[in-house]
Amino acid sequence: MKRTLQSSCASSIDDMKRNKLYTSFGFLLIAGYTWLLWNLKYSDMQENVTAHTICLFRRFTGIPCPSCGSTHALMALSQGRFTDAINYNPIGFVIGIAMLIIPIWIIADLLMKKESFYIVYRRLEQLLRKRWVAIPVILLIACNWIWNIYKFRY
Amino acid sequence: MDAQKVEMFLMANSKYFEAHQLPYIHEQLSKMDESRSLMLQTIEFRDPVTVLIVSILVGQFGVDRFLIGDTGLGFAKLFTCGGLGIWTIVDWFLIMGRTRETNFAKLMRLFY
Repeated sequence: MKRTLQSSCASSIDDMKRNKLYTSFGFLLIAGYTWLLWNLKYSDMQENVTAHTICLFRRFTGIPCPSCGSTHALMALSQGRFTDAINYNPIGFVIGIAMLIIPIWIIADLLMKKESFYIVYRRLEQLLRKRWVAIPVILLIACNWIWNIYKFRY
Repeated sequence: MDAQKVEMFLMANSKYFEAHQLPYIHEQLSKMDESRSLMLQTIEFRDPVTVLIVSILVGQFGVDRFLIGDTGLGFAKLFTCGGLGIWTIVDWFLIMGRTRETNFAKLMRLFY
């Protein structure tokens, strides 16, 4: 009896975590698309970037963060300019793919009452926690950051 | 675990958890056998205030989330420039509660 209570508690905690995850990604995606579409419509990419940046780090220190320029990269991607996209920020590709796949995946999960995205997310998270994965990823991000600083210093 | 040790643990570690969780922790610790009390000392809890400071200073890079163990969200935060800046600010308010949540989860793993 105690086991069943425990496992049903555990599964409802899992449900809560899954719902929280899906809601968080939902908000992120909505914010991301809104930002991207707003930029595509209203911003001129030649303008002084620092004035319009959402990067708090760059506002305060003048130094770009590892993902600065990804908005421009996404805009270039949406217009098919792949080389430009890489030059703005390669992370734009990662974000672009995520922004395409994740909404479809989450909606499919909700429709089919499954939680495949949640399960895969948890597995990826466990994978990322391992040193032999985390260190190369962090090194890649660090290299990208250095490249960013080199590109964006005015 | 004997009552004195339980009291000592709670006195030293109450800041890591939410107030309403403390009675439950007290109960579970009292029921727990001695063999696990050693493991209790190996758990690494994060101080919510430290994580808050980290969040304010370098929250944009997701370091605050990495510290608590939310690796996936940490990378998401890093890749999106602190979730377009909004998540950075939101986390300033959420992170302390979340730290206490993960501390509690770490402790719970000991009981089951």
